[in-house]
Amino acid sequence: MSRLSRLTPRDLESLSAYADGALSPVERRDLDARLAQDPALRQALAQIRATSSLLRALPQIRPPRSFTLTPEMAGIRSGRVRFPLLPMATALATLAFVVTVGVDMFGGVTSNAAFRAAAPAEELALQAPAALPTEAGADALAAGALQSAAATNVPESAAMDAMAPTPTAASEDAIGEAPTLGDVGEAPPAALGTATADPSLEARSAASGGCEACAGEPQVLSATPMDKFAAESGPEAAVVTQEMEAQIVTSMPEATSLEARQPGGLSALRWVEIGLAAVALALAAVTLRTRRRAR
Amino acid sequence: MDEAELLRLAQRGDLEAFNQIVLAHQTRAYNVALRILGEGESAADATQEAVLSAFRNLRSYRGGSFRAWLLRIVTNACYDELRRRKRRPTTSLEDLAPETEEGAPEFEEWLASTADGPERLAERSEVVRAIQDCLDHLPDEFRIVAVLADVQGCDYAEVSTAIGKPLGTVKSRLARARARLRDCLQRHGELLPPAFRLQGEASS
Repeated sequence: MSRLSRLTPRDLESLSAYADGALSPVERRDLDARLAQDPALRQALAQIRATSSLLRALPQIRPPRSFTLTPEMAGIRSGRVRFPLLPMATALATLAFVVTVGVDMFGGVTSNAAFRAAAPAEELALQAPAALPTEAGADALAAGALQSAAATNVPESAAMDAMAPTPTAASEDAIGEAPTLGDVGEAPPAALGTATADPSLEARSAASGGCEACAGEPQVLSATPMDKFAAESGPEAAVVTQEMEAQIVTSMPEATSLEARQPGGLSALRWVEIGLAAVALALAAVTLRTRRRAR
Repeated sequence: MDEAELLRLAQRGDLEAFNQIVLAHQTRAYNVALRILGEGESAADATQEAVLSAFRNLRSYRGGSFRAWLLRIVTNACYDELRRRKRRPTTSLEDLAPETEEGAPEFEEWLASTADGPERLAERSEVVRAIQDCLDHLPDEFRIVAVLADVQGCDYAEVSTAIGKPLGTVKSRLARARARLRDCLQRHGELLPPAFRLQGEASS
């Protein structure tokens, strides 16, 4: 009766490794020779093998439950960390957009509070001479109802069209028309405002703010008496006013009046605004999509 | 998708990819913990803890056998549990049991004589209990090596990775674990229910 624990540690280790086929070729040859001559060693090897095989034969027990991780358990990597980043970026882009628009509006026309209040009305007043006032108002409404990124562009181009006829006529008529058209003019932003129930619309309503801003400067040009305007507005607007004056004197029609709009209408700042609006919209869309997928 | 690809995704924080890897490894991980801890509930807890820890430390995995890397975490979780338990003095059966009488059938002869072979034998609950009891009486570091190498069939290199010790340590611990287990099982062979013993003797 040999007990394995009575073997020398070295023999025990060699036999154990031999059973696993883990000896070097030289070591194995040496042990093979000893095994051939030593029955006790052979018996010990048989004992090791039997023990090992019995352990290996232990059945695998099925786990009582699955150990996969939920996002909560995992420390929220996929859930909470990715989330605040996107809404934050969306909010930042929207904020940057609003600030830019603000700078655009109040940097050009510093202290004229009346403009801010009456802006939409004046926009329409400006469009009035272009065609029938009702038609222009309908256009603006339709543009607002679109509630899309295009909202930034449509009213602007509408304003461009409206500018086509001679500015002299426009400024005269506009003053008369403005109060009556005021209600219609304010409708598009209002329509957008009600739609903001959808979270992604923060950016869109901000974009509608952009529309007002786009239309802001041209309005200024025609709806206000020139001298008063020149006194109140910033240097940029003053320059524009002078150009307008020149055009009125020469009574240049359509084409030049569009040019007069250029300096204020398509400045670098305007492009930045459009870019920011697009970024804010895209981020809002991505945020919504990820949120929906995560649920 | 193969495991390497899943691992790359998981390392970038993809929880779904990680869970697929977990599904592939959890039975083995649980069984390692079960044989080391000797009991299902704490084995499940240790496995869950190990899976969580694996996810948090996934960046520290740099190639090689993922199975061995994971088993190392499982082993560590088991060590934590073992430390938590007040370690009872290991009064091994070896010290208490009388010397085996001469002439009693050797454990391995008895094992060889059973018609079923070790696989069928090890399915019998009393045999499983005997093996687990013998494992439980091994010192922790011996038991862990025996579980990894013999119960799970890991090679020496994997065991070395899993316990963070050199190959020489693995070899010597495994040999000593086997010697102790054999002596323990030898005694258990006689402690097994008579019907079981009779069956073994009858077929010899």
